[in-house]
Amino acid sequence: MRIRANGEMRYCRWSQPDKDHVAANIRDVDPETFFQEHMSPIRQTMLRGEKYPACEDCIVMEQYGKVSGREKQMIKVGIDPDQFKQSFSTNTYVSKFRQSAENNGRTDLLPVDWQIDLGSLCNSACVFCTEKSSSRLRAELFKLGIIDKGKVNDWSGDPALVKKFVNVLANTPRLHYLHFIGGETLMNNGFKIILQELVARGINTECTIGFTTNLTIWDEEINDLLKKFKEVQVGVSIETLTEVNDYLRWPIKINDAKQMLEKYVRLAKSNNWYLTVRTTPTVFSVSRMVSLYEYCAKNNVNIESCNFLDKPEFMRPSVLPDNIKQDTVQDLKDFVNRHGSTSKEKNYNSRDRSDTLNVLLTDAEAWITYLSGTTDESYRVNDLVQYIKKLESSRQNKILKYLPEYENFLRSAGY
Amino acid sequence: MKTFYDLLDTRSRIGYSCELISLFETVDPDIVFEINDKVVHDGPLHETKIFNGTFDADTHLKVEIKLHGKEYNKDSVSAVRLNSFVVDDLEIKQQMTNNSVYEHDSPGTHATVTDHIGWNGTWKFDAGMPFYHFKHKIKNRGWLITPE
Repeated sequence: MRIRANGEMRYCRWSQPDKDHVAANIRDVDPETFFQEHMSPIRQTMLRGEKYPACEDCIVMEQYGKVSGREKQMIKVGIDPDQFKQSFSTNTYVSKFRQSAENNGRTDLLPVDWQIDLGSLCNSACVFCTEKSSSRLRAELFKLGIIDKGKVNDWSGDPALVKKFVNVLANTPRLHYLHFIGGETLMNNGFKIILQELVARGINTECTIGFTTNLTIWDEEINDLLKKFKEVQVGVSIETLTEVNDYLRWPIKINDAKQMLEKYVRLAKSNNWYLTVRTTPTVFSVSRMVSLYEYCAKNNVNIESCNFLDKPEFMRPSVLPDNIKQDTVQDLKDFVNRHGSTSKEKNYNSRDRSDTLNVLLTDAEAWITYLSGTTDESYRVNDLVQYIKKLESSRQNKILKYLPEYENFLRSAGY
Repeated sequence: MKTFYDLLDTRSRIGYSCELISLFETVDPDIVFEINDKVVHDGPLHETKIFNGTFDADTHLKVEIKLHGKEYNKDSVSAVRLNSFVVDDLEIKQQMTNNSVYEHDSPGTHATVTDHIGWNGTWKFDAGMPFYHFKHKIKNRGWLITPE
């Protein structure tokens, strides 16, 4: 389950909010009630074998051979995505599925796997982010007249809501995984407060903590708290090891990010934590991803690229013209060929440290398939250019300094 | 496609295919070969043979190969070797071998994990869990969470 920055609860971390009509705010509804009752219609839709519209991202990912969130969740209960029908009957939750089916989609369970969006407080303003997820970008877009000021309504800033939420976690049998994101997770006080509460209540010994950071903050106190947990998974956000990262994850500088990346790699290794590189491939980064794949291959670090970007639409890699898509595909194929010519088998566990190279190849191959076969959305380039021109006027930077081969593409839309 | 409602009432069966190689110079190896407590071969194995069958998805796969009556001075080569065990298109022979127990009449000198059954005794494998849980484990798919 997911709680978003504004306190709105959703059935899945990968669901598309605008296609998901089942939501409630933690201010109004207890998470238990939302999970056990409000989510019933979603379960019933799935039980009938119908596609729930908000699952679209996962369906598209699977279409291109990319490991989807849905598949990642399936394997956690022993459903084999390659043999769905045969393996379904022995999944570890089958009796609970049955119970839910007999009770109109209701369940007596509580969520054991959460994505917790703490809020939008963030010190970076990534070019592909939205005002809902970054306070810095929100301020900039407001100043540029692109958005109304809006209202900051982060749930984790309210101690009573944090307490309410932690109480749910404390009452959850076999609580398994909590993944925190921001904004920037480490800037948000709620992260430390929740970790302290979990330790105080002894929940740290039974659950795994995951969090994603933008590689700008190092907090010894939080590191010490994390060491008390059963298992830790660190997600580090970076798009590429080339300088275009400066443009994409503005105002973070790639050299600073690299140094911080090394620190986190060392921290993870010394504590036997999992570390994965988290990327959000966009129209501007997909052509430079190979540098990151090479780093990960060399340092035995797994990579988890996001779903094929949904919003902003004009940032999707499918907006690229054919010539850049083809060059990118060739770069990715070269990477795959340098490291074994093909993935030996699709690895659904993107955190499998014993099979890192195969995880990387599986991901790279999905991007090759996607860029080779996706719908042409180059008509969105006008929106892209309008947007970046405004941002660049505020940031005093130029995309062509980093991606000179994009000149014809961008100039064609008035850049 | 079947709905989840249908799937909840479906007992799936999983297909397997197993190849046993017969090794001998003069005397065929005499074996009792059981899969999931069912004898699929009892007697001398004259030649390499493939055994096909199915089992319920919730069955814990168990394989037992018993070699008996071997007279070492007559034909020391006489043995069988598990060459392949494919379940649902997945070759699991190596993982079966790694998790096997072989109790035989020369334990002091030959105690290694093996797919070669050449001593009088019983070679056993027990997955100890439904097949797709076993597959999850050998594929290193990470957490397998349970409600209780």
